Amino acid sequence: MRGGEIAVARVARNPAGPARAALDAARRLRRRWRPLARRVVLGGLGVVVVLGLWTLAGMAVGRYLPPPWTVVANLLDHFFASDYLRGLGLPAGGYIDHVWATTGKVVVGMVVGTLVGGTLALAAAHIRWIGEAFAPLVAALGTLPILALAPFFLIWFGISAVSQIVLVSLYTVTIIYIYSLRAVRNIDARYGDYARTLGAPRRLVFHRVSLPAALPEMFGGIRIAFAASWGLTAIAELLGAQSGAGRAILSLSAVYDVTGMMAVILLLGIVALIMDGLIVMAKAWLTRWSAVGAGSSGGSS
Amino acid sequence: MSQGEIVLDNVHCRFRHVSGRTVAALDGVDVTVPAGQLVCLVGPSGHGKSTLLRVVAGLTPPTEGSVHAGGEKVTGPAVDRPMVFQEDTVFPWMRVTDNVEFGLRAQGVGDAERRRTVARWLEEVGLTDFADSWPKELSGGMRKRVAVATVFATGAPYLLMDEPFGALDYVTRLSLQNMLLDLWRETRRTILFVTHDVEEALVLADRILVMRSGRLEDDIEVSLPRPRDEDIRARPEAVAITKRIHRHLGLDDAAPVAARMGVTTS
Amino acid sequence: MIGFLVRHRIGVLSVLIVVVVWEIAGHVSPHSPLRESPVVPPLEFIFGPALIGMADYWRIDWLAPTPIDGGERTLLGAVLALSYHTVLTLSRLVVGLVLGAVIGVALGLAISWSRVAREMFAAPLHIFRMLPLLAMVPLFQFWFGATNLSAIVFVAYGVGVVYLAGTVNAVANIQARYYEYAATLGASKARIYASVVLPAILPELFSSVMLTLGLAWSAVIGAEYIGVDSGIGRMIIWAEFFSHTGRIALVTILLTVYAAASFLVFRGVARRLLSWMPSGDPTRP
Repeated sequence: MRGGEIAVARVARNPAGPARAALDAARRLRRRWRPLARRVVLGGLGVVVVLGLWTLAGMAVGRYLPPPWTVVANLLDHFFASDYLRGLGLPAGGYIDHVWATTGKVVVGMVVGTLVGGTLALAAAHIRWIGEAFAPLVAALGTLPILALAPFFLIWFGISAVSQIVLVSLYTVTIIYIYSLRAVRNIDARYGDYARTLGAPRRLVFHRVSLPAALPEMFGGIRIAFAASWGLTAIAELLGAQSGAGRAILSLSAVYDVTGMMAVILLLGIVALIMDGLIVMAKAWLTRWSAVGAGSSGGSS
Repeated sequence: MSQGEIVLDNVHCRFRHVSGRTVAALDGVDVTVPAGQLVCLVGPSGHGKSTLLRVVAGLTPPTEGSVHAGGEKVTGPAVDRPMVFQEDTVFPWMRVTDNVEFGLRAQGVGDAERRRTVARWLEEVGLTDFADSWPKELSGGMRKRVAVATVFATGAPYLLMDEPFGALDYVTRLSLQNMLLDLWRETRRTILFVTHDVEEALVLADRILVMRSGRLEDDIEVSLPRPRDEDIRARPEAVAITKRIHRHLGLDDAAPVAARMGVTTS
Repeated sequence: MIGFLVRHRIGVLSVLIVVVVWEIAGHVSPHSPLRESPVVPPLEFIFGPALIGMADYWRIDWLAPTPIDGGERTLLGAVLALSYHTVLTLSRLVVGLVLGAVIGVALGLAISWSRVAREMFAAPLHIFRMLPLLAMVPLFQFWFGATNLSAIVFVAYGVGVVYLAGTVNAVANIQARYYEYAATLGASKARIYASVVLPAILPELFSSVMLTLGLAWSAVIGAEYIGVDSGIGRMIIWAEFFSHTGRIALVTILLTVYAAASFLVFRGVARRLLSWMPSGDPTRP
């Protein structure tokens, strides 16, 4: 009686013969890949349709909306190095160098913001007065469009990268703090009770219970903050910066080069997409214990 | 850890209900549980069984009265009184091994000894092959085995179980009851076991405490021989216990139950 | 009131500390090189000289003097200037928000009519959502000029993409058993759409409301920062040209108040509209 259900589970894990095992594996593989293949084919089709619509619209409005291949050709032309961009007064390098500069600022701002915001939120969840002290400040920062602070940072820190990094960090701290605090408060109280009856001291509960349990929801905040940081950094660069995608867009818009602007925005979007994919992968791995949604790809947010 | 008795001395526990009314979940409970006893608490839901367990665990402080375990006053949760909850509390973010060793880690037990203890208890509950599995890969009954292994592995003298098998299907529940009895016989821990299932209490307990409206209504010694299979549970003294409990629970005309157990009532 | 202060004494204290630190910084900080404003403007400066200074942005001389023509800086002028640009910004925000929501949801429902279309557009929609919105301000200004229209279209685009993706996603997330149940009752596809799909996606759409409101504020400020030559976002830039930190701080405080008010109004509306829903408060993000 005692081992009954375990025996059943064991059988399910290792089916009888190797031949059947192989058959099962093949079937499992097919079942797993068919929806994926369908998604890839349909998604590709969707992208083609959108590109087609873009081309048609471009034919209707003329030079205001260059067709996709012109934008891609422009992107490739000035990808690594470009005298044209230098002629606009931009620092040396092609689109990728400018987008890379923005990426650096976004990543630094995100890392700082996530560490600070996450730590503060976990502290606030465990120590009452910290939470109470931060509540009004975070409420104000969460309400105010953070963009409004950009000119301040420009005056305080000049047109160096610090201005943009501080802006992104502050935004990220706010978002991550709000999400993490909510995540920790949403943790089922049973887990904490159970850990405490096992004699776990606060520190152990903190990093073996609260942190992992809050992780899936914290990732939601990280993705939202990351997605918004690209635009935030770029517009801060438009207001005044020595380098970055925003700086390039500003110079291109001064000469009405719509193709170039679209190329930069496209490249920035692609980098953002890749980074988001990396975060989704990191989440899937770190929360692989989770029964639901751990492996869900992008799409929903 | 040394064993002693658990003593509850005039324990009251009052809550303020949302309506503003004060509700007495425990209303003067006096009971002494000697070391090594397996005690079942039965009673209707909402009548204080779980509160009693939480008070002993130190999760809920009593409004009045005191709890002593092994002569020491209970002031909060501690590793000598771990608890298995009705809900699934096995940490989903830890593999089975990490779950079972959590209590040992909390005590600061060294790596080698921890590994040895965990291996032993996984063996005891029959989960050796699943040491590296994630909880999501186990069935509900297997996760309960993990929880039972976890509390036993701590070496705690007192184990608290709050309807641990309540959500399981009939067959799984029987196998887990047998496993618990085996482990209890081997280790002679003191176990406080809450259940709403009179038959479960009859299978497990040395002693059954009946709770109603926050009070102990009855205290029944169960001296039936083990294992208590259907035949033993059909004996007149067993049926008498069942009837006695049913009377406390307001199920006086227990004819259907008695009939199912093959006993004719006049 | 007293009760509130006592209950939230730690929060009140932390706000006081921030204010005091700000004040001290304001009094020791150097003045900006261009004008009279200190680098960290203290509160009495923000609500004193900086507020009066907003009269500089008033242009109609028969209501209040216009300093730009050598007139006097008056409080009336300052309030008029602030109100004028506030109305402009708010109207852009609201029109863009409504336009974006309506078009986005309508388009999303149209796409969701067929499952194939829904799955086809999921990928491109995700790409559109990942395009950095605020970086696209110059593009919209190139297309629509530095005009009111450009700001409205920009807000509508930013909001619309979120609603479009949100609608498609919400329809995809409806559990099959609702369709099946409705189908076993003999409902046609149009009827299922009207009485199953629409009500089922409402809660998820309303969760987009708060998100898009914040987004719309950023978008309208961004549009005014870069091109459109009016609105309170633009006032910040005018002030920034001359390092008028006090004026920037004043507008920032105003913006916070406006945004908070708009969140409260939207939450109230959403709550009323969703009062029939069983679980909790769906409008809380």
